[in-house]
Amino acid sequence: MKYLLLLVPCVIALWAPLYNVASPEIAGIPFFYWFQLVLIPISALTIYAADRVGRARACSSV
Amino acid sequence: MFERLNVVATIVFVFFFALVTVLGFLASRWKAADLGHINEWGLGGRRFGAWITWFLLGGDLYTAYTVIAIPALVYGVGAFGFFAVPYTIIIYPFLYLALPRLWAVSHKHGYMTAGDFVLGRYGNGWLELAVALTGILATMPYIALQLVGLEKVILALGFSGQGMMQHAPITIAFVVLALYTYKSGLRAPAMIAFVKDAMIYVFIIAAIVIIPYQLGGFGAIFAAADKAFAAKVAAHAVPAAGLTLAPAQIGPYITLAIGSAMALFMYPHALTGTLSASSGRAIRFNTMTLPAYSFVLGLIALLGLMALAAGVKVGTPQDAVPQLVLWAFPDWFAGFCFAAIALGALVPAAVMSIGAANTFTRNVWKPFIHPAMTPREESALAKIVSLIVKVGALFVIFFMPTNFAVDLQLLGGVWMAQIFPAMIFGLYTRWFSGWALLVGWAAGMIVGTSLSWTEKAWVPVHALKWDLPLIGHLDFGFAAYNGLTAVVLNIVVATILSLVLRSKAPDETAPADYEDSVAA
Repeated sequence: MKYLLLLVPCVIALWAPLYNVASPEIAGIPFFYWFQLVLIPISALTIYAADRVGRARACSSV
Repeated sequence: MFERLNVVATIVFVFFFALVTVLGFLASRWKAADLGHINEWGLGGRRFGAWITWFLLGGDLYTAYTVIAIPALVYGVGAFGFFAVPYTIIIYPFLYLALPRLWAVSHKHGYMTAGDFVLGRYGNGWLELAVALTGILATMPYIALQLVGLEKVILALGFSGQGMMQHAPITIAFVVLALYTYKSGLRAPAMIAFVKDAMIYVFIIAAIVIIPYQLGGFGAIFAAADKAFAAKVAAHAVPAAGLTLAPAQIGPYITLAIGSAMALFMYPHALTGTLSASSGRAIRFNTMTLPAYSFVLGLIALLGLMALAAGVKVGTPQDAVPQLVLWAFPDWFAGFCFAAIALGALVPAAVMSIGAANTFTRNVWKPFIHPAMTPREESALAKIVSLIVKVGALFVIFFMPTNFAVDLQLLGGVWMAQIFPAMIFGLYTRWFSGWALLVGWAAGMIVGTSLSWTEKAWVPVHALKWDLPLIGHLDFGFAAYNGLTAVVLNIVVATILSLVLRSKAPDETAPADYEDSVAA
């Protein structure tokens, strides 16, 4: 679970054909740009989630 | 030389420069300790908590050159310049796993550099030397490029000297920087980073709100940029440019992101910033919070499109951001923004010179020239080397064309990726042998460099298409970043040779040394 959380944003970020389109736009910003910008905080949140999962596991195994 | 000087902007600029100079010297008394010891001078005594590390690493990795070069690339070709975003997304999940292990083993054995760790792990002095020289070689042009960033904003202030006088302001700035780095060590950039990062955030938030308002919204900006790219492509000014990636750009986009991510934390300055943290916990905290800088970098990249839409006139794309700032803001705030970029050059330049100095002292001079060095002698030598490195960077700017430094920095990324296998695989396994990794490194360095050379210029990407002896015609159908192509070959060579040459060299680390207490 921890590794899956870390892996998913990386796979999406590197899957350029997935987001290499201009629409849909938000406030005039093409998809290519806003999608990648939004992915940054999401990737930070998944690291946080992975950290929580990892720590919960470490505590329960003690 | 001062006729066209923007007086108001210059006064603001000089004020902030003076402020951080005072901070740089005062920093020697911060968390006071004996700066005659290399662990204190070169790593801040490994006592920087989560927040200090955040400012230091943010200031250290997201440099002035980045603030100039990424928007310049977007200004030039559009979407392709956005590779910096996936690059900085994929790096942090990986660092979350790897860096606490490196910190733990380094803390246990007193390692300060990549070379220290490689020597301890593989017991091979030549691999240590290879890792150290790669780091120093890649760092020198990187420091020189910080000077380019600095010079761009000083030019934008309206300073126009001739001949040697042209370089007078950056010489003064660098001498001042060299002096307080010499005195305070890593504490100086750590303290200045607070001011620099706060200023960069103010600059970008203002830019991202005010400039679209002036240009009639993001829709108008992207439409104008689209038109500008279409005109460039029609005029054959560039092979491909646009608001989205051309099919031929997708392979390079992805591989550049992966290869750059592999290279970044191999640089001496990145490891210096990491190992100065006080705990593995502080590092994990940073892998979750440093993406804030990545977000800002994404916004900075958009400035390239805004410069196109504003129609600012530039000599080179690297002038796009400074000219946009002059176009959009009143003089006093332009001075503030330029000061932010200038400080963005000083922080990484200081950390890079410290990282290179630590590396030279501990992995070149000590093992090969003077093995019996005391920590006090190490600190004295590292301080001198940090001065030499900065003077060397100044000479690069004085006597070499700027393009040469840009090419060297591009090659620097290709080279740094070649120590990835020794460093990162080494954090998890001792299966690879030191000699095999050394041969893999050499293969990667040679192939990466030769792929980058063309008759016209050094280029970062190369089509994966060769006619090879024995194998025949090989065509993967896309182009890739040379750093990544070379490191794949590097890993293949290291793996095959490790199967053949089993290593009998000592390993001074134990598996438990790498354990990062997650529950703590």
